[in-house]
Amino acid sequence: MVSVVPSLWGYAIAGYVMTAGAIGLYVVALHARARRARDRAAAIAGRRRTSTPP
Amino acid sequence: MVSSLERVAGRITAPRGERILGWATLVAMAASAVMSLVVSPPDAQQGNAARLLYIHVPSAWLAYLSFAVVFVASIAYLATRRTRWDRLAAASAEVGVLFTALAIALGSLWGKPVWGTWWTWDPRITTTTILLLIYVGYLAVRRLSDSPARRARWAAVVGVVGFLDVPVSYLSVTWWRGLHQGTTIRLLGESTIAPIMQVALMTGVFAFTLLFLYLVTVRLRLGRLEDRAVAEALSPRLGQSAEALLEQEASARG
Repeated sequence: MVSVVPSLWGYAIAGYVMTAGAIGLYVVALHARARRARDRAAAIAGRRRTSTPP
Repeated sequence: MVSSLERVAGRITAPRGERILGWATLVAMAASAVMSLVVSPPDAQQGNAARLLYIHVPSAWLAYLSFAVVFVASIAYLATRRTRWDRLAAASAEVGVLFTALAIALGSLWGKPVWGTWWTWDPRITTTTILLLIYVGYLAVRRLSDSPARRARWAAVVGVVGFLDVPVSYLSVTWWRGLHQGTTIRLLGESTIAPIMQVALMTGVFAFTLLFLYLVTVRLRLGRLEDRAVAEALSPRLGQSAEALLEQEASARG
């Protein structure tokens, strides 16, 4: 029997690719921001330690 | 109650807990993809476009869940002035905005083959768009003030008031007539979805809920690190924790 319903796979695949892309980009961005914040805090703490008299 | 919740949250947000949660999320997302794209059959009328259900509905669920967490954390912040509640609200709002935007975009993609249009001012779509704008505004408010305490207070007020749109958006399909379909899965009464599709949908909801926990955990760690950098830069007293400094400022400003 021939189906009269169009396949419409394109819409489904576009949706899944968009979702995976958005989540993936957000996770990568979060980790990059966390790394930058950690480095910044460490740099500030390091500068203060070296500038504080014993 | 609050302290035991904080203990559980502390375990999850520990580095090992975050890693385990990350892997569990990845496995759940893979299982959800298999259920949605392989196991579940195409819809009799919508063909394979109906598979968007398995990511559109979980995205919308995460949006509501995120804003509910913002609401509770905002009330907790206003009551206690503890920085960790503000951090939780900020983390959850950011995740909520991402998934609200995703739910709208996926709905638009689904609407084209099914309704014949990318966009229509249907009550559900309109109230969800308003929800997105409210929480984009919430994130903007968080950038308005340099004072962490003032920023947290203003944001908490927006977080509480903004939540009013969540039940309006959820119930809009019942209150007003529109193109968007009504509730498919009912806790009380019979669901109007095939059992295999319901299993695939529930797998998606579970995977996205784990994803929410993972994203909020990572975002909380980021918030703590950012606060530590600010406190390190501002603190006139060495040896004091960032948390203590920020909470001192919050209580000093009332």
